[in-house]
Amino acid sequence: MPAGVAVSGYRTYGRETRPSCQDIHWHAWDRLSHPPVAGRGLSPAGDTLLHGPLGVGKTLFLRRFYWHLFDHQDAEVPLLISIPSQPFRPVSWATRFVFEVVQQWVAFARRSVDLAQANLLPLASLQDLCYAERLAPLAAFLAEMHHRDTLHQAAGGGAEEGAQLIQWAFDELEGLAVQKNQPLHLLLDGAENAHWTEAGQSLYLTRLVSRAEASGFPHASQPEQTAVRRVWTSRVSPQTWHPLLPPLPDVSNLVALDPLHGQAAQDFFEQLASSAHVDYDATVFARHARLWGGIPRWLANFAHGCAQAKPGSLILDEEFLNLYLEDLCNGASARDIQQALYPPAEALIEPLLMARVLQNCLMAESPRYGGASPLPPEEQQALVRLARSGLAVCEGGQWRVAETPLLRDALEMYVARLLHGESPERRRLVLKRKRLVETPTTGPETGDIAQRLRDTALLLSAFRGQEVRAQLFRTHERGLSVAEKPVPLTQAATLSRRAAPAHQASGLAEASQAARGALTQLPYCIGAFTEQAAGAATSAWVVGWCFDGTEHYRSDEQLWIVVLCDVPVLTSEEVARIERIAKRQSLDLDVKRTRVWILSNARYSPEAAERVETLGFLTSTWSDFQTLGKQLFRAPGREPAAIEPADAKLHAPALPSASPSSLDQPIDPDSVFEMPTGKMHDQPAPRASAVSVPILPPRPARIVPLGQSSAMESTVELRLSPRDGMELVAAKTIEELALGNGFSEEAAQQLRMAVLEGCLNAIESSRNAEKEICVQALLTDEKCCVVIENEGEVFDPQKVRENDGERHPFKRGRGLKLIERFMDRAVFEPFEHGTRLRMEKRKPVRGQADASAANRPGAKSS
Amino acid sequence: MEIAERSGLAVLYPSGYLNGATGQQIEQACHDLVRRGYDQILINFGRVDTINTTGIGNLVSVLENVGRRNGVVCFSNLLAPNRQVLDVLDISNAVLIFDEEEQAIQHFARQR
Repeated sequence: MPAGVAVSGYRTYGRETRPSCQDIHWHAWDRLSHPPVAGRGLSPAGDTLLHGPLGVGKTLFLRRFYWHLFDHQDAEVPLLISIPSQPFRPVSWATRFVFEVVQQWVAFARRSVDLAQANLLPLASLQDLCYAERLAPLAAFLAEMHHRDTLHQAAGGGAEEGAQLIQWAFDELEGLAVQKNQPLHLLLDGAENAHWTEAGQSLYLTRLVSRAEASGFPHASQPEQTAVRRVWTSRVSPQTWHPLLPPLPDVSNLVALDPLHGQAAQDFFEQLASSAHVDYDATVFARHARLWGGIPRWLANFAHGCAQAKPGSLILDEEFLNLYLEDLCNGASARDIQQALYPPAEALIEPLLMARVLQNCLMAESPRYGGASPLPPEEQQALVRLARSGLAVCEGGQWRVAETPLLRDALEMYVARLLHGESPERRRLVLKRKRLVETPTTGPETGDIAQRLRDTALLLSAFRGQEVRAQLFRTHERGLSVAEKPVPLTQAATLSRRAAPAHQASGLAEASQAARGALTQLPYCIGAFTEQAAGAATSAWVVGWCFDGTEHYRSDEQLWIVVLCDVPVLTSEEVARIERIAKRQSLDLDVKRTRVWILSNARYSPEAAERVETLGFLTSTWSDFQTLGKQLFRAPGREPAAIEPADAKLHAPALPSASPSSLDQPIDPDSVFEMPTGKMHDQPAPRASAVSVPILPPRPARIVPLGQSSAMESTVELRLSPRDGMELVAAKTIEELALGNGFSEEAAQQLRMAVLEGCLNAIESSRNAEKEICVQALLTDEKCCVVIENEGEVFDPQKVRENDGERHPFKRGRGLKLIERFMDRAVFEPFEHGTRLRMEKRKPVRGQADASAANRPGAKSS
Repeated sequence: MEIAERSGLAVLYPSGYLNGATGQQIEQACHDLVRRGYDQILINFGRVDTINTTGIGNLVSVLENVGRRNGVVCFSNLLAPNRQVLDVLDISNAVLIFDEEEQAIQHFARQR
């Protein structure tokens, strides 16, 4: 078998993986590649018709399936044939068809991908290959056909001759298939084009369509074992197949490739945008996605346009709209539509007429066109042609056009330009005004989710570093029927202390761990919440940048991604989406480890439950979440919470530790605590008896120790008032120290610049002139560690990066860049009252270039 | 801040610590020079020992503002650490930088 064959996706954007037709039409793929009836090969019995509108990805799908057959089976000979929509001479096409078929057959016999992908080989080469593969009948046939073709061409080569040639070719191919005991698997792209109009639409390529009788295949005891199987693609569905169209293939399997809807379209676009490095606002995109009607190729075109026109980010409605209109005027979407409007044969009907007919369909008050009064013949003919392009459909004798806003707008622009001579610019303005005035309606907002997002952020921030019972992050309750309810937390806690059969009966996946006292730790530190996004109407997520160790080393870095899903049933599709969110956040924020926590009351499908368990996601219900809050708030010594509104500064009170024996205490369900809803005051006083959660030692209010001490180390601590110019004092002091400690001049200067910028940030973030900035430096034989701590506004480097180039194109982010480049490690760590910057620079070894840090591309702060 | 004219070239000599305040002075001085008809300005950083990013922000503004009026600004005599800062921030690619003031003067003289 050859190595896997690469088949391109919708577009080739960069080198990243991109969504493929196999991924987005997975249901159709499963149906084709895993047919319910087991035949000789991989394909289902009988002919199959893949139908879907223009641009939905039928051709790519068929090509992918071709390579799938090519790679993964030996029983059938896969042959991919395209029937072009452009005018073609029947005999020439038939000749090309035969050559292509023979070449692909030889390629399959030789297992040569290159040969299959090559353009048509010369006749002599192809004949040699046929002889080499013991396909002598094909070689002889090629020679004879070439001779006849020359004669036919000399005589004009009409449709009848072409049809005869196809007939003859099929007789030969079927004969060889029977002889070789290898059925043909024809993949025919463009069924609607499979007729030759010169002969008054009577000469349909009948031999491409399966015959009802058995093919005479020697082992054809089963009905599905015929010498030729076919998969067709067509823009026209059998339900809307008009009598004036070519005959419908005799198909027994219908597979619809539909446009993408809702979240699927958004996910598809997200992957395309990610490949093209386009940052966009998902909520804004969701409003505009409907304009594209979920047609993958148009979405891909748009993503491509985004990448070209707006390399950075795409956030505003108007930016989307501009690009959308640009694409309609000049982009590939417009070309797709215009190409579809041109008649395939000679220009019997003006494209403009077809456009007008289409526009009539769209603009008419009644969505139907035709019906009671017969249409003029030319319009009827135009509609038939449009139906072949999939732009118009006939239902019950009435014509209609697929309601795709993109199509509607494109036609409006097309007609305006061709019919009224109106400039595209003018029409653009009209459409733009219309779109902007008709503000797209937003999806159903779930205030509940937004509120819970704030609560989650508060909870994680206020209770960082604590250990909680594992069952508070319950995994999916497997094995429960729909009628059964999840086991209450109190019962689960009781069960978890008993023997194994009890918790097995409860169905709690983590109960066995809980029985051993397993704990799950909340992260030690929640950094600034870098994103709080409503991904869709039914889900949202919040990302916390955290550490699971007190030292805040980069190796301890992890992301907590809390996803809130408001769906009745959580399926593997949702889990896959959550996986993608986590991966993307991990890549964007350059943090390798992620912890995903799904908050949802949904029931999990078996596949989703399995996937969640495999991936190790934490899963909780809303009530679990509330109980978690209760337990944390009711810890001993816990002061009444005084949580400010979600957007205000968070205060994490000092929390004493609890003894391990406290784990055995039962969880008291009778709590009056409710999770904060943005503002919470007057919490009940803690009760000493309700100990269930061990509390880690409080975080110190001042700078934590810098690391291991050595005899050669020197330290300095400076307290500076946050005034301009004080940064220079700190920077020069530390530079002098570094020079005295054996740092090279260049390294010391880099250190100075980093400290200077760190202090500048601190001064900028300190709003109160009475609060001091504390700079502590520790110099050892190996490195220099610097901590700069200030009280005041929490500094979020991620926000600076996001804003860089947008709102403050020339003012922000440079200091961060210098720190990243000049230091070996830099971490911004928010604490209760402000921000702490930890930096580290190793002493360069003598003889090495001191500028290594500055040249190191991977240097990154968090 | 000292300002001089050398062979038709306006030369600025900032000194000490180039921060936001000094940067604004440079910005204002360049603005005045352009209004007085100088379209070629050299900033000699030989007396500047430290530059911070706020000051660099001002320098970028100077480059933009003078560039908008079809003027040219170039830098010279940068100390090594300051030059490294400009390199890291990709400012070096946006401005002509000379090792010595004389080189800058000769460069502009050749262009006239």
